[in-house]
Amino acid sequence: MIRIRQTLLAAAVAIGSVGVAAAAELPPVIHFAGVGSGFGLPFGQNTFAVAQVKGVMEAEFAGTDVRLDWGYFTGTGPAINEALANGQADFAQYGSIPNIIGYANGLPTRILLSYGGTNIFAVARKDLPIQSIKDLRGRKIAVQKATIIHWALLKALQANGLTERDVTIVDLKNPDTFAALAAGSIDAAFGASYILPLRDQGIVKVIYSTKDGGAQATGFGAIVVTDSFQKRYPEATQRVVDGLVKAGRFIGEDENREEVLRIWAKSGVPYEIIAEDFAGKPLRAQTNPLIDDFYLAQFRDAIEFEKQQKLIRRDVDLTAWLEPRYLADALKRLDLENFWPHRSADGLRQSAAN
Amino acid sequence: MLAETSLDIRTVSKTYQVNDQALDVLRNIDFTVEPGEFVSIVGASGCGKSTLLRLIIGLDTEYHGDILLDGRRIDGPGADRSIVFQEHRLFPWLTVEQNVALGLDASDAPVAIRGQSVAEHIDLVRLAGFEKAYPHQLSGGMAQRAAIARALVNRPKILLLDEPLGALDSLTRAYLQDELLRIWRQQSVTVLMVTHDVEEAVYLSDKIVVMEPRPGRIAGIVPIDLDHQRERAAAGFIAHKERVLHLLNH
Amino acid sequence: MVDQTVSEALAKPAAAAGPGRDFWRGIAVPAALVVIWSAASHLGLVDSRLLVPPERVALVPFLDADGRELWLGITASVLRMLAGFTIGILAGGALGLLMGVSRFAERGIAPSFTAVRQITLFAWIPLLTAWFGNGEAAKIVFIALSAGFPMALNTHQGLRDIPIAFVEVARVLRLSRRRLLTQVLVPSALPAIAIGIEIALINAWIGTVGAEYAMGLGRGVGAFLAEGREQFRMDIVIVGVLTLALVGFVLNTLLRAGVARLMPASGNSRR
Repeated sequence: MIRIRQTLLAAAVAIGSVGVAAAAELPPVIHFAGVGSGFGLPFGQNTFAVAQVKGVMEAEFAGTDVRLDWGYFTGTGPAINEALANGQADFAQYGSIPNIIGYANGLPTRILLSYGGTNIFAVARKDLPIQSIKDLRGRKIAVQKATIIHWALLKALQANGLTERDVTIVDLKNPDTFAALAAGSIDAAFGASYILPLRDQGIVKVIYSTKDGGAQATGFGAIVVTDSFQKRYPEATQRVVDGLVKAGRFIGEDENREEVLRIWAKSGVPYEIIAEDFAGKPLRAQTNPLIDDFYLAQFRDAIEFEKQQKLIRRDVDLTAWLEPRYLADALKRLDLENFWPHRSADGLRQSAAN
Repeated sequence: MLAETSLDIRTVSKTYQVNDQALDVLRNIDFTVEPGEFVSIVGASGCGKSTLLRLIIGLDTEYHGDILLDGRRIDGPGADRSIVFQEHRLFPWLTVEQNVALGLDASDAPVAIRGQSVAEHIDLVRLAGFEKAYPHQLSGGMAQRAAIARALVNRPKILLLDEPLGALDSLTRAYLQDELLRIWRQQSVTVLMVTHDVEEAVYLSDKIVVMEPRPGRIAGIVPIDLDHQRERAAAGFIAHKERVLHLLNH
Repeated sequence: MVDQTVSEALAKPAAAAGPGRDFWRGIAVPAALVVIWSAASHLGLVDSRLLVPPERVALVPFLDADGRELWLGITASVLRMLAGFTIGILAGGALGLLMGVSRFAERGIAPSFTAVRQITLFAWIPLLTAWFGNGEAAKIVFIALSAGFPMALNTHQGLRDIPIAFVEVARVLRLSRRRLLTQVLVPSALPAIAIGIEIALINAWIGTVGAEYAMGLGRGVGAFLAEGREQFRMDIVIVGVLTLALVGFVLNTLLRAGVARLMPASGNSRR
């Protein structure tokens, strides 16, 4: 009797451990893809960069044979979508507009967590009587279409009672914007912090910044994983999210601010610009990874934007796309559930206690 | 050596189709080259003499009639016939030695023998010392001599020459004419040469086939029964020359 | 010297030592351009934001932290180029050889080859990044294509342009097909093939910088240039463009020297 029980028990343990082993299977290599820039080896101005440099991700996989591969794509969103499609990337950190385009066109990703906001600025030619967004009525504005900047422009116009039809939008990439402003063929331009050097060159003045309370108009994106990777390697996926959350905590701690800015300056963007970009508020507030009501509302807004701009044809089921359980699990285990503010749909902070 | 070979041209004709019209290039060419003879073909441009040579060497195989070498109909190029063109056509990337050796490429002589044969023939054309030279380093006359060596190295039964001295200056030409005589006698090879230079033909040949154009046919055959060394100013020489010119111009 | 013309005989004798007259003549035009460039930016003839003075540009790769990334960038680009170039000329040469030697292959392949060749190389980039991603593979394939097309074309052309005179000699001497290929066709086609390699090289270099510029991920002169453009750093952009030109020039000079040494002075060269 006892023998049979022992045998059954042993068999159950054996089968069970196979199941556990399968779930605990680790990949030989994990590919990370982020947006990057640089004169030499491209580097990112993001969570991945900090996770890489501080060895946080390495620590998650210490003692295993897993190799970590970090790639920072200067081709931004489109290049990262290609990399995900090709199996060149397992995890990616990039903007919401290409996030949505990829997913809507069949790229099987799952959103794991956010990474905070990208500040958007508007600049206008110094010689023109433009002081604020309201003065942009009837003006020519340069913005790179089909990006979060374009979305932010519309949001800014909306907040000031203007629509796309009240202005002329010129589709230009960053370097061409410089030439157009210098030549006087456009009146204003929208962009992220890369546009600030124009002010330093004396051609334009800054007339608007999402830092001044424009949370709903601030750029945003997602950190995604390919569906096949997270299904096959749930253990590894959890470890990655743990690592990213830990990196996020490092970024959010005030005493690390200097170091984080220095790490991000490896992307070739001048330190002064990065410092100015994030000045005035604690980094923690600007790098919120939570999938809260605010984040959901922003994403829905971006999806609408893309449908309107005819960037996507099909609708996107946001709920199906999200996979927040890894984040929830990490926050709980690391006791960081209240480290970042949970925001309501309109962007106002909710109480920290859940 | 190989002086027993005869070349029979029997009623050879060739027609080209030009714009749906038949053009007779050669009509009823009939003559024989006896073993060991030095025969020249002379004629104005357009008389088909070069075409005839191309038929004999086998670069062209479409014609009516028969071309027989030792009684056998020829069919394309063969080891029994060699040709020297007006341009030396040596390969510029090969040395004199290597160019001459190519003449033995298709033969089944063993390699050891080949080297010796090449050296002998370079000697024959008096180019010893220039084995490692490249064609661009040779004068026109020297290059042509190398071409002759390449043509003879395989010991053909008949050597064809298509205006071989036409591209050279008159001093070199005179020198090479004597060289040709010497080589012909030393090798005992049968020679058929095309030339537009009547005096050259009379100087070198045992008989001259005179052709006229439109269509290419034989105007006459003039035997030259003078002894070598021939004197260009001698009465007999001039008389033969006159006879040939007469046939050419009538 | 006996063959001097009268004017040559009357001219001053050339300097005994140091760089020859050819060197100075070659330097003259670029030097003049640099002087004009310097004047234009200092005198304010051109917006100095767009045309950075040459003295500043010259110092950027040495004194500027961003500018110093150039050196590793050049190394990365040249290595990348060599890889793609080698693959390109081998594959292109093989294709050109096949088409040049076999009429059957030529008839079958040439029409498609000609059609594909018409596609501007840069139009391949979206296809390549979609198939190979943005990594090294896509870039090297692009570089190989840049080098392969001119190589195939010139090799094919060179083999087809053999003078009839040589072909007739080969027929009369009854050379075997193999001998014909190795002793006649290929040597005769060598000058054309050498030109093909030269064109392939410069195409490969331009393709390298272009691929880096367009595909981005990793170091390179193209990445250096692209970033300079993104950040409105005209000094970096000018450095990048000059580097592109200078490295291309150096590569071409080295290749020519190498080719001249390998191809004996057999009188085949028209230089």
